Amino acid sequence: MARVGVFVCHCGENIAGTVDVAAVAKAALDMPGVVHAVDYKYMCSDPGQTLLKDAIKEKKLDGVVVAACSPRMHEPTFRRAAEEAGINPFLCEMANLREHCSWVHDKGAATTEKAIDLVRLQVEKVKRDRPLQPIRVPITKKALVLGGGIAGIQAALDIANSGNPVLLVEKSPSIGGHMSQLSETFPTLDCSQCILTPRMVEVARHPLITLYTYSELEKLDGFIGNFKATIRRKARKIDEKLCNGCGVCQQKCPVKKIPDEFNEGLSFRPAIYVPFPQAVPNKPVIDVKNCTYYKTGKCKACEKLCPTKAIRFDQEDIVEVHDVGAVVLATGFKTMPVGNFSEYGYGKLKDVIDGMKFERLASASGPTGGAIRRPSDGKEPQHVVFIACAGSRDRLKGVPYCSKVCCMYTAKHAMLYRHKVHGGQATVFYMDIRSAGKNYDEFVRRAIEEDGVKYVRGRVSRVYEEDGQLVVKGADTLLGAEPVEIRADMVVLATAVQAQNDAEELAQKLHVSYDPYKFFAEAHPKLRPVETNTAGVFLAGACQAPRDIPETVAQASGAAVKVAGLFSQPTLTREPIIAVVDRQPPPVFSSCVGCFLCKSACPYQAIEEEVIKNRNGDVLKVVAKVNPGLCQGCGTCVSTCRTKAIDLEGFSNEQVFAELMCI
Amino acid sequence: MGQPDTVTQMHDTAPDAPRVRCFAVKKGTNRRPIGAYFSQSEGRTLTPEKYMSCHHESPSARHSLAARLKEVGEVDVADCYQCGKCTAGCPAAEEMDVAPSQILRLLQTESPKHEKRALESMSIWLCIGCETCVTRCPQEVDLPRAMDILRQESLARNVANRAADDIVAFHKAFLHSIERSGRVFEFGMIGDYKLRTGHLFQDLGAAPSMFLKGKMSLLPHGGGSKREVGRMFARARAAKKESQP
Amino acid sequence: MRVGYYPGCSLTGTSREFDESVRSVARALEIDLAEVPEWNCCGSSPAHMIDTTMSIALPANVLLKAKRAGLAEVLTPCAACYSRLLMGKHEIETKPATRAQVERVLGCPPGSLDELPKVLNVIEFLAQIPETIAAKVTSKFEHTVACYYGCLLVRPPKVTRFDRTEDPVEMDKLVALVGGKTIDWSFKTECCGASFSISRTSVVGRLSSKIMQDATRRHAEAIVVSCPMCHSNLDLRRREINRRMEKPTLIPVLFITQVIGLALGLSEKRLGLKRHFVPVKLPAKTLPAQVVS
Repeated sequence: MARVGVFVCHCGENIAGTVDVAAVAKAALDMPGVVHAVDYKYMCSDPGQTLLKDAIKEKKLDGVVVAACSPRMHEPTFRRAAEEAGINPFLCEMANLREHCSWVHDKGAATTEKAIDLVRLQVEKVKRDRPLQPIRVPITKKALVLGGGIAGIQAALDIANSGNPVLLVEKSPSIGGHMSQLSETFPTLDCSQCILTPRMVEVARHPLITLYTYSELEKLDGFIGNFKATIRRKARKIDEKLCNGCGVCQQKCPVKKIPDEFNEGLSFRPAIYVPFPQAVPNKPVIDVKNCTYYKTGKCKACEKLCPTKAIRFDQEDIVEVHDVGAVVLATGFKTMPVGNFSEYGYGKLKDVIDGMKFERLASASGPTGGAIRRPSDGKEPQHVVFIACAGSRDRLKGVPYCSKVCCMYTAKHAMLYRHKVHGGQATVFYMDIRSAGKNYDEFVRRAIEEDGVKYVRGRVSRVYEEDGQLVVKGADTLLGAEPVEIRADMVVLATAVQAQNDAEELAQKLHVSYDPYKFFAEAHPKLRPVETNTAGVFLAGACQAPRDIPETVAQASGAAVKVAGLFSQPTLTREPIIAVVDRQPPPVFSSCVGCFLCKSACPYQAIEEEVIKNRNGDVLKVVAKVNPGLCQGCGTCVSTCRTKAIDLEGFSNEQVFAELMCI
Repeated sequence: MGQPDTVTQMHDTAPDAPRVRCFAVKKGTNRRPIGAYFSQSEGRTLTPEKYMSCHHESPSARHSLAARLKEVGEVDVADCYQCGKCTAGCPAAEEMDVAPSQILRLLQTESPKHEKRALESMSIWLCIGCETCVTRCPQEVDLPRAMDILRQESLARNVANRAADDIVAFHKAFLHSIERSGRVFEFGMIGDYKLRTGHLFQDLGAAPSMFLKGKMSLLPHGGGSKREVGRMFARARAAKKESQP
Repeated sequence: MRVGYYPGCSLTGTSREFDESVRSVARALEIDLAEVPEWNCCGSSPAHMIDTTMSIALPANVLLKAKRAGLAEVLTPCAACYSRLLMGKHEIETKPATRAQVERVLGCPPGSLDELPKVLNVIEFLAQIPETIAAKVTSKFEHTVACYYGCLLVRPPKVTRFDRTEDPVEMDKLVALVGGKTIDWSFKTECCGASFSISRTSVVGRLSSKIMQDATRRHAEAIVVSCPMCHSNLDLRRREINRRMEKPTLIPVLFITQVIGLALGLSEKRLGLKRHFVPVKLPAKTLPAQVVS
């Protein structure tokens, strides 16, 4: 006879506010097999766990049901407690009275009734649980970091410095990301490149970091500790070993008028190019779409002039497969295109630019050498209007969320402009100033108080061109919403931060979930912010949500610690919730008939064929076998098996039917 | 009459103290709004600055203009976060006494005092209905629709701003003309408007050339099924009367 | 080709020339305009301003008559009528309670308001038949004009589904089709003051003068419109406008159908050009010979 204990948690007011927990505990005592039932305010607390442990020992329980919250958070907690009290941890089950009952129903007898039913289900299940042993799998101690911006750089360095090899994959020709394009950084105004480039060089020189630029992840198979990453190394059309980065090819390339991505289209680059002088690696790449040779079959000027004969027009992409144990996603963000804003000229007005363009204008390495010049005629703008929340917090045309970094960089832009153009006027249209962060609000106040930036609270309705100037129509909501019309020479839109265009595709490749705006989802918004719900895949930086540099770096280091922690274990322990194929004594061997429908149904390629032979080596039977390392316990094979030869540990057919039959 | 002016006064238990009920929204699970709202007994105005947050179950809120807008116009004033983009683009904002965004603010408080200010404003009559605001509103608040309802409410409560008399007269003359002849008979409509407003000499200069260019006729148009349209107006009026107790 | 036609009140009075030019162009393009029998006024702005029920019931009645006359599409040149018909239809189609209420006001059996005819403005309609128009052009309209769309054709975008809300180009394409040039300007969809023509003439003067200012600065020879209210504000109220201009202007305001009519070689009289307050005088050297009388 089973001896089950039921422990009902109040979860403060969360459950007890809606469900009569005492009644649930009382009703549980009447369930067959239950010998002990109590309710307690916080079962997950130390006294709560002690309550559970003591009861297991004193009442000699052989099964435990904790009726509390979602098992997602606290199942490991209670299973550990059960194990400490001397019973197999898999003999502990949870009834979710919070998410499945108290949060979704109003207070009342029916709600309590449902809570009792949920407990009854788990009691029936736990009575049929059998002790399971955790599965141990080996770990490949090498990490894959996707994205070579500041997030990827930081994560790669931290992982490598913990003694584990890293493969850093960046899709563009150089690492550095958005941060390499920035002029100065808030709130200290230190030069972005000056603090970033040493890190870039460190990555390139680190003995444990393999750097693959101009490369992309094609496919990721496997599971935590044992991933197989397929990576496409796009052909640079250059022999990187021979190239010494002299730059002759760039100077001699006859194609000159390709908008320069690094300078946000404010200048031009040739068809063979290094994205920027401080690029890592400092090796050029041929832009096949724009190269005269690939278009017409003629030219090859670069090949003729290359002193080291490093040009390879016939170079092909290389596809490699790497074994890695963990993946850090650090693929960053993009900003909303200026063309999205119909009321600000659909991108037709040349002097309406976005924040990234302003960064290039203000940057010493930019096309103007750091002088503020407007794109239309190269004149120094005398009045610049900065529009915050361009697309952010805009349900209609943009995104409903706050992009977080714009308030700060807009203050920085206005400040830089005031420093660089003496007598120039800077006006910022804003809705709220969100400057939470160390020294952030002080920075904004400095822009207003010391640098004389005019802040107007209101959203701009329209920007149009008149007589070579831009007319900005706004309203000052702090003056009773008085209409304001400003004639400006340049308008800078603080455009919304968005997920990368290919974020959804990448998320699907990695089985990582994402939010409605295609930002990758963390495993828990508060307590597991750098993990994803795919074990072994971690997050860093703005691919998860809009972030500034300090936050990105902190998160990247956090992800690196998670990876290092994972790699510090000799083997990996996995939950034994896996499928098993029935085995019987000869001459039956197994009720499996070897149809292998399960094999084609399995999404994880976990079903193998096992050949059963007699002593003479004659084949007696071919039956299915589950690879415990690959099986994820999804149960698809169980439902396809015609002879019911496969069952899922911890969720056996017997258990599921028992649960169904008891209500 | 003595109005409570601080939150603490609202708990005054003196027999002659205004009966102000105070509700606290249940604090509890993380899926419910946490906050408090205050409401007042009938006919009394609570010092508006003292409200904290409004809740759909508030007894006064149920009869507020905001609630009415939500019900009949599907306009939720709570959506407005006061960015002022509507005002910034409004072609008539310069003439208005209360900016369009401020009209929404007046409704957000759900205080009768503020609602009165909105209904008595000139702004609701100066709205041209160009729909620029709703085209650009980041929160998609249908302000033109709100203005329509406010105008009709203002007329129903007889509190329309007197300075808008001529605008009201124009609209009424226009609809009257439709009711009588099925179509707008411009000469008759303008005459009606002039009689309603006393602006007898306005635009007199343009009139002769209007006739000369064949742009205005002295006799009503034919057709237009005037009886049918008249019946429609009658039925609509009857239905309105029925719905109002 | 046969299409339903709803001229609306303005086109029988203050904007007769719009009606005349639409009919003349249609005739030239061999399009049969079937006028909605016994049509009534759409209610225009006054109805939606002070009587929501009638603002839906009046256009519903027009569309119901068109439907009963077997018309699948109704061409509505007047932008105000177009807006009211479209909004009325939208309200009926999206709100069952409104539909029931309107059915009661109209005294029609339930279900009568299903599948109301499609509402088309003149630009949409002409944009469907570019080849037909191009084939009939006899004298290219070689002028540079400003296409002014105003409010009601393009807003609210959720209902009108007009091309680019803040910078529409459909009318510009039509002008280009008949040989004209259009300027890229900033006031294509800014409001002219609309129905305040009579009750707040000063507002019309202020708003319309900004429109004229931008068009003249960019050297437009004429403004092309598709809305009777825009037309009367820019044409009839020119004195009010010029009082606020740096330099008074006499550039004419044409309806899009008049522009197309001129290119099709139709006479000034048939297009009602004489009915404008600001005389239609386009630079003579580029005007087609037979039109310059």
